Amino acid sequence: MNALIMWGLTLWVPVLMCVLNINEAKFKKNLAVGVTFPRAGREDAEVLRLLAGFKREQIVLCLALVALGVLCLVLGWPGIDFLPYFLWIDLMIVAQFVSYARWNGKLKAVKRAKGWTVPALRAASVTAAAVPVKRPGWWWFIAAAVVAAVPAVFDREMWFAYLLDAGVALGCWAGAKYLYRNRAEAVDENDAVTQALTRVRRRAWDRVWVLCAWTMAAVSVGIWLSTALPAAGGGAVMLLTVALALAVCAVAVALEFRVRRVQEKLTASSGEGFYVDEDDKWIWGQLYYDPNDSRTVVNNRTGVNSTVNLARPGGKVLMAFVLILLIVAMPVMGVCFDMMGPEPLVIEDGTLVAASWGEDYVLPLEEIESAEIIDALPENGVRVMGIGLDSFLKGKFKIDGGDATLCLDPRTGPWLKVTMTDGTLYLLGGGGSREDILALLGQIGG
Amino acid sequence: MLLKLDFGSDQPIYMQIRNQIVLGIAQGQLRPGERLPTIRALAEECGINMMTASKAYQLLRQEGYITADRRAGTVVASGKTPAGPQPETVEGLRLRLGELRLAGLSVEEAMDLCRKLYEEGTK
Repeated sequence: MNALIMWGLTLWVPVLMCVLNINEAKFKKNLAVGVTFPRAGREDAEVLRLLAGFKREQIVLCLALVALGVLCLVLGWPGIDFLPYFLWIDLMIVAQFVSYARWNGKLKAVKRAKGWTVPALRAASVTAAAVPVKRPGWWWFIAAAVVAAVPAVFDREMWFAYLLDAGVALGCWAGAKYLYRNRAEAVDENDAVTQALTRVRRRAWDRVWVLCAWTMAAVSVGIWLSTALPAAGGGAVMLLTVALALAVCAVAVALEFRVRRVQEKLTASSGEGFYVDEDDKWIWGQLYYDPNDSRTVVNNRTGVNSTVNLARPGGKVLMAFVLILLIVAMPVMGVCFDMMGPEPLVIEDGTLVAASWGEDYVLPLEEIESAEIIDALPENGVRVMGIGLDSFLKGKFKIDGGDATLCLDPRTGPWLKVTMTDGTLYLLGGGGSREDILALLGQIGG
Repeated sequence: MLLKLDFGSDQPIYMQIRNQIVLGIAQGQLRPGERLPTIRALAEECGINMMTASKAYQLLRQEGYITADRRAGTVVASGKTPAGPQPETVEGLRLRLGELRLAGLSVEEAMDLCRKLYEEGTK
C-alpha cells in the first residue's frame, strides 16, 4: 500500500518535467533551452532542427522513466521498497539535467558558429527598479500560522505536529521575502515590457508562498479533525494530505505555465537591436555562476523559480547541501527505511524490551496487568504519530477510539498484546515464532 | 531606462552608472522630477554592493544631476545643472575634439557631428 502511494505520488513527475522541458524549447525572453538568440535565430533551420531533437529526446526520456518506475512498482523486491524508489528519483533528476545540458551545448555551438554571440553586459532597469514593490502583507502568513497552531490548544497530544505546521507557514513568509531576487525582468530596452514581466513574475511568486502557508494551516486542521472525529479514520487524513499535495502542485504548475505564457507573448517581437544575453553566466543553461554578482539567490531566467549563484559562498553551500541530499542521502535513507524493523522481544532485568530503530519500549514486568497472544491485528487502527510502513508499525495509534502503542512487523504474527496497570495498551512483535511468544508469556506470567 | 554595465571594463562600475544616467537625462530617457531607485533597489537591480550604488548617486548629486528629498526620494534634478560644465567635461571635450582633428575631420565636419550627437538628447 505504501509503495503504491509513493509511486502514485511521483510517477507523474517525469511527465511534468517533460512538459516543462518541451516548453523550454519555445522562445520566451529570446531564450530557448537556456540559449539566447536574436530574432533571426527563431527562424534558423539548424536551431529549429536542434529544438525538435531536444523535444523528441524529452518524450523518450519521460516514457523510459515512467516505464522503469512502473516496473519497479509491479515487480518489486520483497522487503526492498525504498531503495529502488529513491534511486529512481535520482536517475530522473540526473537524466533530465544531462539531457538539457547536452542540447544547451549544441545550441550554443550553433550560436557561436552563426556569430550571434554578443558582448556580456549586465542590464539593469533604472525605471523598473524605481517602482515601489508591493508584497503580500505579513498578516497573510501570521493568520495561516495561527490557524495551524490553534488545534494544539484542543489536542495536546499532537501539539508538536500543529506547531510544526505553524512554523512552516511562517517559514513561507521568509521564503517569499528572501528567496526572491528583486530584479527587473529586462529583456531589451522596452521599459513597458520589462515592468509587465517583472510584475507578473513577482505576483506569481507571492501567490505560491501564500498558498503554501494556507496549505499548512489546512493540513493542521485536517489532522485535528481526523483525530477528533475517529469515524473519519486515518484514510481521511491520507486522502486529505494527498488531495492538498496535488492541489498545491496543480496551482504551482498552473502559475508557472501562466508566467511562461506571458513571457512568451510579451517578448514575441524582441531580439532586434539591443537584447539582454547572459548565457555566459549560466553553465549548461541551468547553473548560475557570476563572481561579479553580489547576490546569492537569483531568479531563473524563465518561469517563476529561483536558484543560487554558485560564485557566492552561500550558493556553493546550498548547492552542496542539495546535491548531498539528492545523490547521497536519499539512497542511504532508502537502505535505512528498508532495513527498519522491530527486533525480537526479550526480557531483561525484569522488563519486557521491544527494541527497534529509534526509541526502545521498556515495560517493567510488575506494571503489566495482562498479556495475551493475538493472531490478527485490529483492522481499524489509525496512526497518530510514528512510523507506518508496510513492514514496520511503530508509535502512537488509535484503535477503536482508544490509544495504543505499537512496535511490530504487521506481516509476520503472532503478536503480543500487553495491557499495563495504568490501562496503556501495547501491541508488540519482533517476528518471533509462536513458541518464542509463548515462552515470553510464561516469563511474564500471563 | 536600461543600464548596461560592463564588469570587464577598466572604468569603475559607479562611473559607468553615473555616465549612463547623465546620458539618460540628456537624451530624455529620464525626465526632470522622475523618481530614481533607492540605493538599495539600485544595488539589488545591478547585483552590486550598496557602497558602489551610493558612490554613483553621491557623484550625481554633487554634480547637480539628481536631488535627494526625504519625502520624494532621489529624483532627477529639474532644469540645467546648477554647477555648469565640469572642468573634467571641458578637458574631455578638448581631448575628443583633438582626436577628431587628428582623424582628419574639418571644423565643419566636427561641429556637424557634435550637433548631431547633441540633438539626440533634444528629440
